Amino acid sequence: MRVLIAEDDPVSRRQSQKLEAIGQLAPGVAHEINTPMQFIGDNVAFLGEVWTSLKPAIARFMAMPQLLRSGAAPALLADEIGAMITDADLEYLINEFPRAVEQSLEGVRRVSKIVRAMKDFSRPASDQKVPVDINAAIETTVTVARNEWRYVADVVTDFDPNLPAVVCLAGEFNQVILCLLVNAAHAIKDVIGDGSQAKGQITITTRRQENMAEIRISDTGSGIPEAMRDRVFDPFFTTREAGRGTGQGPAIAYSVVAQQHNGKIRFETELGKGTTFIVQFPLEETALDHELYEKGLIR
Amino acid sequence: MKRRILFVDDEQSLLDSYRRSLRDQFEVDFALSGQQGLDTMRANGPYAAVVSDFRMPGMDGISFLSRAREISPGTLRVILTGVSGIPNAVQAVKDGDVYCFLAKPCPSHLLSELLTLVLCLDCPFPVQP
Repeated sequence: MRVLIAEDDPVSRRQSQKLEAIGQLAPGVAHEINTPMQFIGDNVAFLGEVWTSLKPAIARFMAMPQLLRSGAAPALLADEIGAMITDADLEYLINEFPRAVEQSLEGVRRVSKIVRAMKDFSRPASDQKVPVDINAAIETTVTVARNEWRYVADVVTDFDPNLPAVVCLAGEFNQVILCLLVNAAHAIKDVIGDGSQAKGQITITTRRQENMAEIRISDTGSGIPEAMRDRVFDPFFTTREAGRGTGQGPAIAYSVVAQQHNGKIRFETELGKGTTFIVQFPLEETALDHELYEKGLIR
Repeated sequence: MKRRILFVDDEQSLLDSYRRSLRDQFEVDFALSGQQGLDTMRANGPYAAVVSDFRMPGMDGISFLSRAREISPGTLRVILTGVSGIPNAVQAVKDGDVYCFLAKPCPSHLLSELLTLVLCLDCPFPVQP
């Protein structure tokens, strides 16, 4: 039997948890944007310089027909062309120019992706349960939190493409994924320490298990010691030192999954191998039912 | 003769952009991690300056620079990072003994001017970016 805080105001608590999550992600998101901005800016400046260095070569090129018509010796023409190639550093530019363009475009795509994900992630809180494409929602959360995991782990996703929409509180669903993802990253960070060892791996899979949508989030951390296993979902229980995350991830996930969605959450853990959190959301209230409900055809 | 500078960052695109922007002013080498940076310093050093990211997978920028100091005490250490904040800067100065703490995005012409300036070793003044 779990004890809840008396006079708990779930709406304002959820809102503040969400704001807290966004606040904690903000510096990481800024970093994820600043890095591409750095090289996009430099590359565009480089392309500008290239143009400046090409201009004289282009002027000489445009004078070529005149040279040819005046009957210049082939050797002279060859020298002129050779000088143009050297002066404008064409051998270098032929590779660097397209790479600078390509990498800049890739940087722009990366910035757009994270801005879009941030927007999806921070949609205004709603009390309405809506059908959510949970594969897309997980992808969004993984993107927004990239800076939280990329230094310690790779994230591998294995989504069931035929998974029906899950009717849930969209913001809270993201919160669950974020909590468990950050929790997994911290578990791996504890193992790899200052990073002299190789990165770990976080695996996120989605599957349909009969009338449940199941999400598994696995880490390659050290596993949960036996003495702590009973308390993983307890609020206010944490193994984290101050300033190293709240350690409240599993407790928050529990309250969202079990209390707000009638879902299930449990974990499998093995010392030295890692931990898998298994979250199940009910599918009975399918997207179709939800649509009918919205239209007042069923209640 | 061009001064030799080593850049350490886990972003290939970023290293490529430095290479393009600074090749006229400096002779630049690159490493994708702190460990690779240390190996490069041992194999190809000495460098006039080493410019490192703050957060990288594996060894972070501070650990890298403090080890870099052991390998080559005379090499100027600079942090160029998207992670800002005074505590990070203080830690960098304290543990990495860094000369400059620069925030991304820092346009390459500023970076180039700054490096040129601080590499005038006779210049007795600390330089603000």
